[in-house]
Amino acid sequence: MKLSLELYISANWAVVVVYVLATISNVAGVLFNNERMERISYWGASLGLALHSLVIAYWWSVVGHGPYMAPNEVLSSDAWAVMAAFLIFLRIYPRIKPASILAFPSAFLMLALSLFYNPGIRTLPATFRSVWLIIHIGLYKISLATLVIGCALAIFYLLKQRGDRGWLARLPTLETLDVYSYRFAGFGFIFWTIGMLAGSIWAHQSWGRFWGWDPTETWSLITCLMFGAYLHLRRFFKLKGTAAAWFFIACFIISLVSLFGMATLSGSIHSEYFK
Amino acid sequence: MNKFKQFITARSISLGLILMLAGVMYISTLVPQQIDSTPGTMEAWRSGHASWLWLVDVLQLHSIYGQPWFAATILCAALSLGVSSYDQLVVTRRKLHSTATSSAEEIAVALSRHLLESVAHTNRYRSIKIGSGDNLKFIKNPWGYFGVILLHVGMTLVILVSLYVSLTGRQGALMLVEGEQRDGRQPWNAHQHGLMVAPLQLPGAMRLDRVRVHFDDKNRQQEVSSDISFTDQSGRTESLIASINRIQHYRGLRIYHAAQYGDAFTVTFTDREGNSHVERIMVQQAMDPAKSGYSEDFSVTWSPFLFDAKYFADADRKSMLSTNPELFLRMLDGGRETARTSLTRGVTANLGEYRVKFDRVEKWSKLIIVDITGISAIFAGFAIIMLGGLIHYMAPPRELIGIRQRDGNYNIYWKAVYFRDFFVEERDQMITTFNEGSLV
Repeated sequence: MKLSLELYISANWAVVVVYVLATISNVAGVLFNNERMERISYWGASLGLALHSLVIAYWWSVVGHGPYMAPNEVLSSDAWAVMAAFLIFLRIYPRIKPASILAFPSAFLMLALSLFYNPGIRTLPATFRSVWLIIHIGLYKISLATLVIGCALAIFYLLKQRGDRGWLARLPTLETLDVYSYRFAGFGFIFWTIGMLAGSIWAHQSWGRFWGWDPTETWSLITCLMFGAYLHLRRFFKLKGTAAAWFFIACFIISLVSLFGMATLSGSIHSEYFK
Repeated sequence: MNKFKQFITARSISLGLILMLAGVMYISTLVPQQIDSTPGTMEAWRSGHASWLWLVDVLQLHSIYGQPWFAATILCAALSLGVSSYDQLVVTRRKLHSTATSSAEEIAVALSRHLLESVAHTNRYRSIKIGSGDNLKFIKNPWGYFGVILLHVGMTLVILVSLYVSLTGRQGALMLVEGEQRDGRQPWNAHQHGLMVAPLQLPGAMRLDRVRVHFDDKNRQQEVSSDISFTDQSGRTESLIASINRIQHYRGLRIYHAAQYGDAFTVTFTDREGNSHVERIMVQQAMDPAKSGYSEDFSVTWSPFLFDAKYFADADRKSMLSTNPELFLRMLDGGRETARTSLTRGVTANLGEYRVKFDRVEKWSKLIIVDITGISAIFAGFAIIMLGGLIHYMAPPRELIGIRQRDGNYNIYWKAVYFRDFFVEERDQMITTFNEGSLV
């Protein structure tokens, strides 16, 4: 078992190195308008993602449960979700390409951080053995990934608006950044909501209640309401541009508090895996 | 009535309600709630926030979710959602069959009907019947119009049924040791009930026959289940096996196996005067030979001190299947540890001013008995929300409108109902096809 843990840690560090190289190549490509470097970065990211998938699958087979118990597993699978979602959405919406500047470093930072969380084998409690858990957690990870992309676009909007020079001039137009950020907020909102509802079904199955005002549940609902307000403001109150970008960033920060802050700080049942 | 409708569906009201609910929930994370806080936490918070207590007490902020004003806010939100869903349905049906072009872009002029129909068909725009006239309308993803409506209808259903459940639902929890029996006259370990119903009573006697905690050869826990039996007033007994994530039913009640279970240690405390007190200490199941399971702090009537316990499944830290657990007891005074000891079965030791003896160990588990109706409607609401959200964000509708001219040809208008920038390529492709077609 000790050997498999060492192998797992080494393989994760190898993935971090691949992601870092992809990030350097990507940032250089975007900043210096070097298409070859950018192309290499996507190959690197895809290679890193393939390795990362293998590492996760290997660890799944060793510990006997998915990547959602130990903090190390949670962060690693979050990093995987961000990278995978970015590469998939890039094929569907090529204009989100510059969001790699935030997506790539997010992935390697989360994965590197995960390795400082004392990787080890955690036993899966009996209540966690439900298909709803996988749906619940999987949807939150997809939501996080789409929100990271949307947040990157909102940040680019704010940067480009201050001065449309250098590499910023090569980003899509302000209108495009704005509407893409809006669309990804929509994706994030819907995946978040469905993830929350799946959690509710699981809670009912496990504990006989579908909602318990647990701190993480409450913050998750706050996040959902804030993104609901954002979408309402955009649709009915014509909120756009700078104000919309700042509002999105605020909602994104709230989502991070729900996902990571509450799980680490509060006495929530959701914090079990971060202990 | 119309004024009320206008008020409740005003965009500022709906946004205000969303932000108000988010704000109230935020406050609930700052002010400890009775539902999930210990008396100690509550007291510590109150002593540290003396200047706010008048407001906290007036608004009953320690139990926000049980307050009538919170229920009223939720009800307003449900009304707003419900009425606006109806309004949206009316508007959507009108829009669906309208050929108004005020918000659409003119993308081609003087085209034949055949070419328009052909391009619409190729791009998977479906023909929509319109009221009168010779104009034509095609829509891609016409169901996309109904996404927001479904989203709102689902939310309305969930909120209203949740309110109903909170008013009529009731449940009780029992923590039983193997062989222990309770009936309807004995108190629950914990219970709650809605304002419109009386507390839940067991329909007979319930006995915990056996708790099974299975571990594999690598000491990994596999399954937990409890054998229980109900005996009704006529003396008829029915046996059930409850396990985590596998719900059992008895006479309309749902029986859940909680995540709380483990070993109950019977310990005899003897004080300096020679008085003996037998206590049964329920400790959460240890999950690994090297890791302990912990109890809650507990007080007793015969001592001013608090106590707590932890145990290892195996005194040798080797196997979860061992029959030789090691129990640790602590004595606390004002949160400070004043004494500690460890015991194995049959052993006696000192714990501060007491002699303690570990007499025996049995399995215990917590069972939750629930009497709730309406959950299916809530889950139906969830399904409607999911469907609405997916339709709205994944399949935005696009319209292609042909306005017939005097010469029998058509001027073509295109519109994406939302997220227009995402579909400009589709629009441009159609423009190219129209231009090429018109030249032929």
